[in-house]
Amino acid sequence: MSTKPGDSGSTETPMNVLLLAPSVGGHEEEVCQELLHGPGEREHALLVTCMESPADRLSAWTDHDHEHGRPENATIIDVEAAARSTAATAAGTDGAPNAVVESVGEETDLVGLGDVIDRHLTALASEGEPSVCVHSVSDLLQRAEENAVFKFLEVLTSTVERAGAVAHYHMNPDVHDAETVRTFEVLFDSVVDLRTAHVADE
Amino acid sequence: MNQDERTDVDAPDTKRTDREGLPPQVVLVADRDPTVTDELAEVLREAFIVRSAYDSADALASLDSEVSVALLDPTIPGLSARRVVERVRTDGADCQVAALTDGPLDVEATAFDDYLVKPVAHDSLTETVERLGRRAAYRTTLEAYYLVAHERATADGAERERLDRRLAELDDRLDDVFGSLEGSEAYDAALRELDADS
Repeated sequence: MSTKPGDSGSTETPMNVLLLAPSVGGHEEEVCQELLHGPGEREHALLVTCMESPADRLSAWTDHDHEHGRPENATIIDVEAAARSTAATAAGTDGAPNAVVESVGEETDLVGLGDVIDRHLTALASEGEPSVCVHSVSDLLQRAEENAVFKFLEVLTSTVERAGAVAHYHMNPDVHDAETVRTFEVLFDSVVDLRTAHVADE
Repeated sequence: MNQDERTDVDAPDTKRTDREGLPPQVVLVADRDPTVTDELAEVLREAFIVRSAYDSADALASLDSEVSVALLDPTIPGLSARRVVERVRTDGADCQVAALTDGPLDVEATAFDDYLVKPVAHDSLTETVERLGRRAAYRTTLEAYYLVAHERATADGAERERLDRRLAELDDRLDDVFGSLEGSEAYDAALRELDADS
């Protein structure tokens, strides 16, 4: 499968990857896992989730155990906890003793979310090279204006680069017009488009 | 006081792009006490282009798109933070605003970006203005970056290539400024909406 950025011939691992995953098909979870674990077998994961529960994001990650081994720890930042039942949130921690879930309040804006991400990213970076999954750009665009989400992601990609982390950002191209997707493309080192499994390095 | 060439606020706009990502730092100072205004302005002239204002009409008239940092005394009649922000956050111009106060201020509850308690120590004055200047540069450059990315999304051919080059320039400039900002400060500088009621 030629969906890993490393397959494009570039020797340098892209630090920030936009993962364009359509609503149906495209092996989104498999590619997510490969990007998270990366060639360096990164052991610290920072998962940012909006609409999906922390349990779902975590299982997507740990389902891959047999092939990649378990990460030492995972930190999950739960952006839309208030939109789901608290039972679902609690379940996220039950089966995963080495997972930390931080729920971000409903009233938290992108500045506040950035602060929380920055705090965890800095902490994880002090222990190793973290791997970040943002799920998703599409959900963030439900929360805030395009202009604000764009700026938020520019800051986030810069902090990821500075922390020596790698990150990928899910975006569903089916729910945005092509112009929005092309506007956001410029923020990333690489774009993995699962509609075509085509890899384009910026 | 030395009125060096940097006090020439009518310099052409091209200076903005010739300073490797650092726009000319034009600072506006307005305290209710003209002596304080003059003293702060004198200190700041060592490093910045400075405009002084002695009442709200002066201050508001001086707040054009050249000003990247404003130090304002909110007790000057007619000079509420809201009026200032309405003035500085229009037509793409951006300016970071610090309050000159007599005591601590809960910045989060106001439209101000920061505050300085009088009497202001000269080193903290300069440090604060430099920091606010970096925030202003980051915010302004980021807005330009978004607008060019948005324009590029529907461009093709030579126009797209031109916009790609422009994006690369802006990206370099953002990287430069980002290097001097803490992560949480970068989010705040990039995104803070100054729409508080005070």
